[in-house]
Amino acid sequence: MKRQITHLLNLFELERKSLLIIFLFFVFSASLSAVTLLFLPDILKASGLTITNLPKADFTALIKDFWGNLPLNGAIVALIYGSTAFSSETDINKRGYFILSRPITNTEHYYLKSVFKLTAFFIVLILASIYTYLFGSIFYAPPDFGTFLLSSIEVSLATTIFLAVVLSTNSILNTGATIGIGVLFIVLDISVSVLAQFIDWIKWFSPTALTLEWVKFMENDYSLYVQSISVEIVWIVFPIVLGTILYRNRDI
Amino acid sequence: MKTLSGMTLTSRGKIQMSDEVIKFKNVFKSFGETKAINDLTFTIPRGSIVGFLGPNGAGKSTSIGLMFQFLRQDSGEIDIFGENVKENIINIKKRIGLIPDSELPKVKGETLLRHTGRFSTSSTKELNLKIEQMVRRVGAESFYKKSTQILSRGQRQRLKIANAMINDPELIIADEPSSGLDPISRDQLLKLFNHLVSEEGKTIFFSNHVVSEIEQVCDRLLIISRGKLVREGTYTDILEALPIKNRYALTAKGITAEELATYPDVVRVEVLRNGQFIVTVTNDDQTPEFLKKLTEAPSITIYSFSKGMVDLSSLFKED
Repeated sequence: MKRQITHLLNLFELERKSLLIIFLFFVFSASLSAVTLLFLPDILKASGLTITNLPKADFTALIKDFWGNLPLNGAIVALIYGSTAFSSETDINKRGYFILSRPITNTEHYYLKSVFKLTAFFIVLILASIYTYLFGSIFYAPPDFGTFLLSSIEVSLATTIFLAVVLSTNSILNTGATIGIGVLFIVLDISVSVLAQFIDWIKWFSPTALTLEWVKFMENDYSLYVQSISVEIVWIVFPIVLGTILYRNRDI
Repeated sequence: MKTLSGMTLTSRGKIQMSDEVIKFKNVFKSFGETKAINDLTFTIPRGSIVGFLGPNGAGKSTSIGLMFQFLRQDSGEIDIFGENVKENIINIKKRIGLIPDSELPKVKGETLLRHTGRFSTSSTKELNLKIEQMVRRVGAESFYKKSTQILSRGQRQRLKIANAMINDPELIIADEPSSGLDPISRDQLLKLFNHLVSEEGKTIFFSNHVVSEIEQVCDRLLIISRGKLVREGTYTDILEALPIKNRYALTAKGITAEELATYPDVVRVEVLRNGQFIVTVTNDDQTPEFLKKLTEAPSITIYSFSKGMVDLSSLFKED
């Protein structure tokens, strides 16, 4: 156990800058949503445009903008964050030999690094949501924090699925191929999420469709909460188990 | 190296237990159709420096990759410290240090050393002390806090050596450790290796292309070609078995390779550079006939002459 903790500590030291950048990106995205929403009527007025039926500027509109964009923003960030996770160690320069020559097995390295990245990414998304809550509270009346937090857990877990798929792919494929598969997954996800508008059960196969469940939770309808969270966890665990098996049987 | 009823007398005159640190038994490894390692069998005794020599693509790095299980053998057994690498790689890795022939991660040198050193100590104070001692030992004090990306090849090589040694391993496995080092640093590295074996009882296994470096420090040589062990023994033993006695190095002025080829007993002349030749003759007389003729010719000046030149291609060939 001590070896694994040491390895996780090393990973934290190596990844903390990337995680901070990801956090700042989402904070920027949330801040932009809030400011745009607040000043949209003034901006339109200054431009000489008159648009009726503007969305009501309230906390729900703000969070809808932030969480609505999260699947796509999160997928792109996951692609950047995860597409070199293992391939950069196993490419022609074999940088991973320095890590894997330490008292750690190849399998341990794969799952520890994957679990670390997934957990850190998830926490960053939750922190960005909390920032949005706090920042949004300055301008609008916030909803109950507990309800908001439960919803943000669901949305963040669904977004973390993208990273799990990227890390699994990167266990055996190079960076280019990982990005290719990742983009294909995003396209399929968007297509399935559109179909989910018409066929309800299909939402369980699309992270984007799953993120939309937050609307119900914010309205205190938790009938599908446990089911959503369970499906998302399966979506995250399965690629990592698959990646671990693939990585264990490959040559580095 | 002489064996005395279960004990080993090393070339350094020390008596040690003759246990095997590394043991390869009928190991095979293929990459697609290419057989990288083809029935490789050898053992490395404790407390020795063993050189692993072979041309590019011979299987040196693959063998090292197999020892650490970066690569998985198709068949055969590899034991290190008597433990199977497939079953007990963690125990084995705790006792070995690796100097790989690969790029350093893009971190500060100090971070690299701290991350490796953490596996043997949890005390920050002790770890910092270890890092300081190690960078002093390899001469990296002035640059170990910088990013590895801005360091020269020689500086990066020193960091790799410090990284391999920081957990005080019993066995150091090095893949081309002197590559990128200047002649002075190379000498220092060989002296360090010598010290680690003779004074600290460590075992060193290192691959190299440069015969002269291996000759300087190694107790034993393993010569590998196309994944197979082709020669094994001390440098002298290997030279004895090679057809080198009738090969001469000659530096002379006033004669061409074509003219040399017409001299008595000369069967082959290789030109190294202007005025430098490797001459192969039919016999290994103390004073060959062609040399007598050369010295008699007034227009030819001989600057140097030596017998017993190693033919590298014959070194890597199977008998």
